[in-house]
Amino acid sequence: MDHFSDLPDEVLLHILSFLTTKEAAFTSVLAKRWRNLVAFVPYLTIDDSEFLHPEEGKRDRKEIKHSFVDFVDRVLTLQANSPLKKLSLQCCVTVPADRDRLDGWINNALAPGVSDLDLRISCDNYHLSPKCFECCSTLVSLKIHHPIAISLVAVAAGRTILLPLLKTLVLDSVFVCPNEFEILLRVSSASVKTLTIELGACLSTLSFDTPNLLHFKYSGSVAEDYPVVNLGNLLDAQIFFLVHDFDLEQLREPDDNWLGDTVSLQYSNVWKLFHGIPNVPNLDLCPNALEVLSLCYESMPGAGFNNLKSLTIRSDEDRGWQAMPALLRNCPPLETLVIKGLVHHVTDKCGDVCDCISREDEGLSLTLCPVKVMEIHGFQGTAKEMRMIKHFLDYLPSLKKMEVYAEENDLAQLAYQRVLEIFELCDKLSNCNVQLWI
Amino acid sequence: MSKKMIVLKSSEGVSFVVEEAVARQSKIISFLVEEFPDRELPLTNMTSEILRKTIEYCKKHVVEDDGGGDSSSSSSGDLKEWDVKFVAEIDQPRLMDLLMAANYLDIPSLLDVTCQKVADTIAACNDEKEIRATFNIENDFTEEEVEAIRMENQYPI
Repeated sequence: MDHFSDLPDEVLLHILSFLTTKEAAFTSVLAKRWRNLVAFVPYLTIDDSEFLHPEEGKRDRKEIKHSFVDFVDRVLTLQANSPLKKLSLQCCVTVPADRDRLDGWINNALAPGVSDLDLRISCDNYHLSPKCFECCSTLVSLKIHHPIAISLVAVAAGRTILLPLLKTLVLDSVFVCPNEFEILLRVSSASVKTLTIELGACLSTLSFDTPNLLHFKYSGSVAEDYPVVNLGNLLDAQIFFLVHDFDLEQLREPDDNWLGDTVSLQYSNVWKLFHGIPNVPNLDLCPNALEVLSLCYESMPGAGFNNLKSLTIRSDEDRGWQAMPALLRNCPPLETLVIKGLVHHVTDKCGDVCDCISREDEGLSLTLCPVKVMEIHGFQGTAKEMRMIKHFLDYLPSLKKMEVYAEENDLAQLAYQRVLEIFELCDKLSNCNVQLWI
Repeated sequence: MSKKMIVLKSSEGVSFVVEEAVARQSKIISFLVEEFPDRELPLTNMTSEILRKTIEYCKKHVVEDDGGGDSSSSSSGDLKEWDVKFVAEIDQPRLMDLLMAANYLDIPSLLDVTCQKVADTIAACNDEKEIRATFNIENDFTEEEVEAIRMENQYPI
């Protein structure tokens, strides 16, 4: 017996919604019952790479491109009578004539009722029409990827946009002006729970008035000012700053001229961002963010993250740990410290956390730090790293467990046996359970 | 404090005693328990085997309410892994029965897991003949009709 014969159409549609639109359309040849089902699937997942791969060069063949465009046209025309809930569209549009069709697709799909929108469109200078956001008050998740640009200014001037249900906003290297970004956030600020932004352009001001936000990922340049940072309920924050080497040099040792002044002005308000997330329990910082954070400690020593339980830092051999002493001293409930890469730029300010430079108050910050669990990733087995690990074991009073993960391949031959023996010795001698994972 | 139990009866007349919280993941049972408390609930279109599987799933997914907010017995990552294993171990006809049970009892998460598995099976087939064979679908199209649909869709494969 036909396995589907006892199932109502709505369940068949539910099954089809787990397939890409191309796969779902393929089922229309199975039997008469399946003939037009695809038109009623409320989720559309269209990806032109499915059509244009795996054959190399297929993408450039004219007839292939045409058939993709025709296929999408047909599916959306069929779809016209049933409301769409989710649209995920990934395609590359080069022919000007297809741009109009692309506009048509998106406008077509963005009717009231749509809840998820995920657009990854490769097309020169493609602007998402402001009209898109006018009728999408039901949007729950909005993801826009490079290189689409959004231009909302026109909307803000005349009409209002409402996204009262928006929970997830992802702007992946999308070109936005601060104005536009703030408009998007303003229209959805009360509901938005997840915000992921990767900004390519340098913004002069950036505000986050999103009191209910739980998950925050920021990647981009440091803005000149953060007038409003209302992120008091965050659960996790990941902050990745893009900082030029030149800027860093100036920040470490400013030239006494207008150039030095300009750079320090650019970074003079970044403390407002960190100050706006005082309660975050999970924080993940890139090497640049760690350096920039140290500037904030210079301007307001003693400020800390009162609820920080888990801290992840990533290191770079050209970026320093200057922020670490203050960071570890001022996080009373810190339990877990994850260090991705021990090797960092040696400065005399990271002093008492590591043992790069020998000093009298060695380890002082560590003795005040309540960390219980440490994870070290990217371990390369060098003597310097071993000294740092010993330093942590010696000075962290509450440390119960340390897990060290070796960088792939690096440790394979290199003095593996000797390193392992030292780790076993550490495990025996200290009160802490030390493990090396290869 | 003893937990409230309810009795579910399969098509063969076998009784299953289940914690109410476990069974309430089915919206239908949840409704029936409120309407007819302290009654045995006959599920005449479900075999013991499928009912046992359904209960196994619900037991794994029950969210314990111990007064201190929601605390599931497993983390969401573990649960997902468990789900994948759970459906992987079931053969095709029984998977369809389980899917039907999830639909009938209105257990959205079980319906999602089983539908996903069926979708994966469809996606893994090489052509429509293989899909038809896997699910026992009878082709009621003529050769010409199939060709016409194919032309219409124009798959650039």
